[in-house]
Amino acid sequence: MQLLTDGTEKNPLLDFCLRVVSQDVEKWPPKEEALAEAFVDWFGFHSFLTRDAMKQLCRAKGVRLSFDSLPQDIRGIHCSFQNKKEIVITENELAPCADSHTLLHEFRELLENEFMVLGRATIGAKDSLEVQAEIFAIACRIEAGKRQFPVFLEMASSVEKRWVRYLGYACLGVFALAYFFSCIYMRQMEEIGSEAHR
Amino acid sequence: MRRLRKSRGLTLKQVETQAKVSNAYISQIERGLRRPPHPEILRRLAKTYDVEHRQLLIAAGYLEEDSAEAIKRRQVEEAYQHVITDPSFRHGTRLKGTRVSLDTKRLIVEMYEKLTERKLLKGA
Repeated sequence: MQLLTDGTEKNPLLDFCLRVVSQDVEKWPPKEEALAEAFVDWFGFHSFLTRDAMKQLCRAKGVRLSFDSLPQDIRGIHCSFQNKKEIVITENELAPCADSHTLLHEFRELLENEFMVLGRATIGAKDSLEVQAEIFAIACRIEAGKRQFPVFLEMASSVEKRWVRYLGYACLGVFALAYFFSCIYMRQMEEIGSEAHR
Repeated sequence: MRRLRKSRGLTLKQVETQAKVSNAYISQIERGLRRPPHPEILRRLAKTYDVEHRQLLIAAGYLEEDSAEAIKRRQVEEAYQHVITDPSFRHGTRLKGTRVSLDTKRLIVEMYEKLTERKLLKGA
């Protein structure tokens, strides 16, 4: 945790939430997609992150991330006390990109805590934070994909041999389809992974 | 018993002073030279070692193993209730189902202990 000159601890999550509140004060609460877009920018989230890269990004935002063997009934957990924030993600998940999905889900719940501190909760009494966090995770991954695939497309288009270039486009198309499918159906993929693991 | 005493960083003499049990007797119990002590002595030792009296009763064979499981469960449930009612501590999980298992409750309590540096579970 970074220390300010007056000795108080800096809370990057709270700073981010403050910025979101000040930008969207007129139309509160923000849509999950809009929040996801701002988050991807702020966090530096990419579609394909290694565990070490995730840890580094989290550390930069004052959150300690670890991967561990967790009880069977959970995929991830977060806790916060004062300015200490910690996320633990199961190391036994088989579905691809499930780690980053869970990370985003836990972050959304941490963000909600900060919004509540600011008196600007985004979740109504009847809404479920669990559901919103899932939507947020999906929206973040789609947003990151939308930013990354044009870069891949550019790379493919720079290939000189025509047939290789078209093959690149085709592969990229299939890959993009699989990626977006995995964003939307992550929970189902995880269920299948869990069944296979048993 | 020796492991427990060592883990608390206590000497036989210190235990004697605090629990009012002779150090020679404690030493013999630790080496298995004496039969399990009377429940009253175990109560004093439990206080000195900061563990549940019941835990020592189970270790000494006064209580059944089944009760040991029940005690652990109760201890975790009680600690979990404390954790979820502490407004300064916030937590959340990404659940596979809808019910929070005892193992998960224990994990949450352990994370609470780690972040707040407060001890709630006594060897459960």
